[in-house]
Amino acid sequence: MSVLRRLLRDPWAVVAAIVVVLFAAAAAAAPLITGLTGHDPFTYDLDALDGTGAPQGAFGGVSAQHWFGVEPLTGRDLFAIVLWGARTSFTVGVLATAVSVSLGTAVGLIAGYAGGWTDRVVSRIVDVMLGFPSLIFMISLTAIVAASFPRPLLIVLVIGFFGWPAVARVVRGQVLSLKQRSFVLAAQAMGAGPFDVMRRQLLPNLAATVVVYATILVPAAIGTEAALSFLGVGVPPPTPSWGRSIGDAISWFSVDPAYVAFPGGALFLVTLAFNLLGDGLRDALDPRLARRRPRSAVAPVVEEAVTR
Amino acid sequence: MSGEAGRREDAPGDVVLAIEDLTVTFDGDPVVDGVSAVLRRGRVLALVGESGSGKSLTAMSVLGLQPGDAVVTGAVRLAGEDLLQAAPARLREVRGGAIGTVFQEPAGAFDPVRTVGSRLAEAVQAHGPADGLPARIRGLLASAGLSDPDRTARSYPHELSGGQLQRAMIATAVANDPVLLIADEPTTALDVTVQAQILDLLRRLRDERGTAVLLITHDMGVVADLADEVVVLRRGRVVERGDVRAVLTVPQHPYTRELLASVPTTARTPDAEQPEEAPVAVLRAARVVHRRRGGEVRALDGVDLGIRRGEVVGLVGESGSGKTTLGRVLAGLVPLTSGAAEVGGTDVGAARGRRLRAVRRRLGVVFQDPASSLNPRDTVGRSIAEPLRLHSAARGPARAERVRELLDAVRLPADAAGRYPHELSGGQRQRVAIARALALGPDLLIADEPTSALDVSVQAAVLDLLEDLQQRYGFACLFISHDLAVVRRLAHTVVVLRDGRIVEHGPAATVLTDPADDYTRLLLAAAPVPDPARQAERRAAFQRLAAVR
Repeated sequence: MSVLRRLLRDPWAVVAAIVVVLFAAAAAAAPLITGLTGHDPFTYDLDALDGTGAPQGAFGGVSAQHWFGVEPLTGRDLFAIVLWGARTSFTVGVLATAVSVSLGTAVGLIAGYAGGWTDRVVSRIVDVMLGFPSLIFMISLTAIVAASFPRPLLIVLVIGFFGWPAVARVVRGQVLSLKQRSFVLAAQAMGAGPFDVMRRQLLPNLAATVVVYATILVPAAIGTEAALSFLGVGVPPPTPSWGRSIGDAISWFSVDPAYVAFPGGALFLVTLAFNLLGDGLRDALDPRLARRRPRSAVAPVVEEAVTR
Repeated sequence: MSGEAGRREDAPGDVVLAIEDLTVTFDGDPVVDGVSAVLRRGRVLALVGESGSGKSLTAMSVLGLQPGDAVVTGAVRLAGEDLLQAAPARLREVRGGAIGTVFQEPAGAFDPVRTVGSRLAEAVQAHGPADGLPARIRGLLASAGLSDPDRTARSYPHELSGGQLQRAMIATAVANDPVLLIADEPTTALDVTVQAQILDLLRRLRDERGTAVLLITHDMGVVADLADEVVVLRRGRVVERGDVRAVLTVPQHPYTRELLASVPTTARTPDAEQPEEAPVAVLRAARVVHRRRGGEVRALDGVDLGIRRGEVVGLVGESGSGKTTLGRVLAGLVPLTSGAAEVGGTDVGAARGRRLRAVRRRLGVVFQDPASSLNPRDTVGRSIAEPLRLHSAARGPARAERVRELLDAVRLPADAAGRYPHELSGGQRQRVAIARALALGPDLLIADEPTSALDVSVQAAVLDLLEDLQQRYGFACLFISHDLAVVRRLAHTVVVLRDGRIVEHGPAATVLTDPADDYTRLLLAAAPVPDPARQAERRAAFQRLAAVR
């Protein structure tokens, strides 16, 4: 409860949370909204274009009909594309983060708790993974994997797989320090097995760290998906994606600079909002940062001695 | 409550520092409330109180080192000058100049990457010309009782013991001939024998240099040993003040009386009526050797010990004696290098999996620090139910009922089950830890310094509770402590451990009143008692023993 209150006291975090919620709601309700506006992101509208294929009108064809203008060459509604792109970004971002966090937490927990050789081996693997040129690997992987394998799922798995080492490293460090606390020792002395100690004693104390890390991983995953789509190896067309729109918009920049502004702006806003929210959450969850004075235990001790 | 009555007008020496009506508030609520005190040349004034009494905050406010959001009012006059009004530059001049400070934790007060000598040099240079610096540093370290000042000056903090570091810190504090030394719990982190030596050193500084000392402590024995005058604080207010003999022998205020009554004394020892039956826990030629770079450390070196049902064995020793290791061996947390450890006939060291679980079912462990021995994310009820969940079929209402019983046994209200550890005081948390340890009705309770993180009045209550529970349930108990008085309070049998070996083992009454071993004698003499006259005798005895060694 106090975590929420501390979070609400941070104006940046509140604004960020509102932005995230708005985008998430818009993404979820995308088919509904485009149903209302009457423009889906797939239908061509060549009437909105001039002879060269560029949108008619100022700012890439912004009008009462097409709020964000239209896509050059096809005339598809850019508002609908950005809206449906949010669906892609959020789905990929959240699912990839889920993959990273669950893998990373599990590996970090085991390495930190087991120690010894397990820890050494896992830590070296983490080092290698962190130094790995992951973008190149992802590009080549998407080229190799059979076309029959669903592309969005592949993107989720690949991004998720390269996100776990960072989580594992943080979780391992946290576990190493928690392991020294007497309550972990107490649980062992009571006869709790390793799995039980991890689940009952360590995991609940890791929750805060993991939540914060997840909020910071989501924008990273969204960014990676955009990068892959930008490079043409992300989600396949015609599925709308901010990254691919930005990639297409680059070649139209001199003619139609507004084309890059909307998907680019959306990507920028969402990643910034997630990062600010993550920062705010971390501050709210870590009482050491929020606490303004170290108030020593406020002496209920004397009553205790008297009332016993 | 400004208490003019108790102040001695005939006290010798000039007034060095006058604290007048000092009040420190946070967000409008006072944590130090109208404290006045006068420090005179060559005298020691002790500020005594339990945690939360504001004693450290008072001392830090004198130096202008209170937390940033504290509001300080009143006056702190150093030779007439009000330090509360002084400019920051002037305050820096005073700190380490006219006022030296000694903190509780010597290891934390030194920079780990610099030598002790360079730290001292800095202290000297910050306050004036550094003529003949090496000689001065040597002189300071020697005057702090360090036998090899040159080697100490070249040493890094981790190369010195706690006692040596505290001496070096005192040398730093007196580097610029302060008129006042503030000593904030200067011996709390040290072993008793080292404590006695540090108190001697402070006494010598007072007598030889005429330094006034503001001593902050929770330990009435330390007060009796060193202080000339006492100010007793409770929740930021002065409840009693006066000459040390008067306050400690005929306390006027009920709180002072309660504090003194809480100090475990030498008076009583539990009756030793030991039924001759097979011991619950046995150690046979137990050895634990840790391999470190540059050799081995023998944490335990051939220990034989048996603990019977209904018996409380007090395990005494200084830091590094292996007493904690011994407890952890019996709990199956530290493996033996050689020898055997049995609980209820099962070899703890050899048992694995199901059999180890079965052994652990029969023992309970209480750790020193109640702040970290409970999972902060679990409610009290869940923490206490943990062993039940792990080992017994009791669930739902039956488990809740058992938790209620246990809370009642440790004298906590039933609604405590729904609360989180951070909502409880230290003493209450330790009660929860005891309830958890007793949940399965253990044959053996291992209590590792269960009261050393607690205030004396709370400690007394927890010791009473442990004694009562032990008599009611009759479990065997290994009670580990550095404090002989605490051990005396509970133990039937006392074992003195030193460097991993047992130096003395016998009935509590014998070991604690008529020890056979010199080391036990030294330990006994080093522990201060809260009576100035008797403490002076004990000090003399300690000095004789220490001189012989």
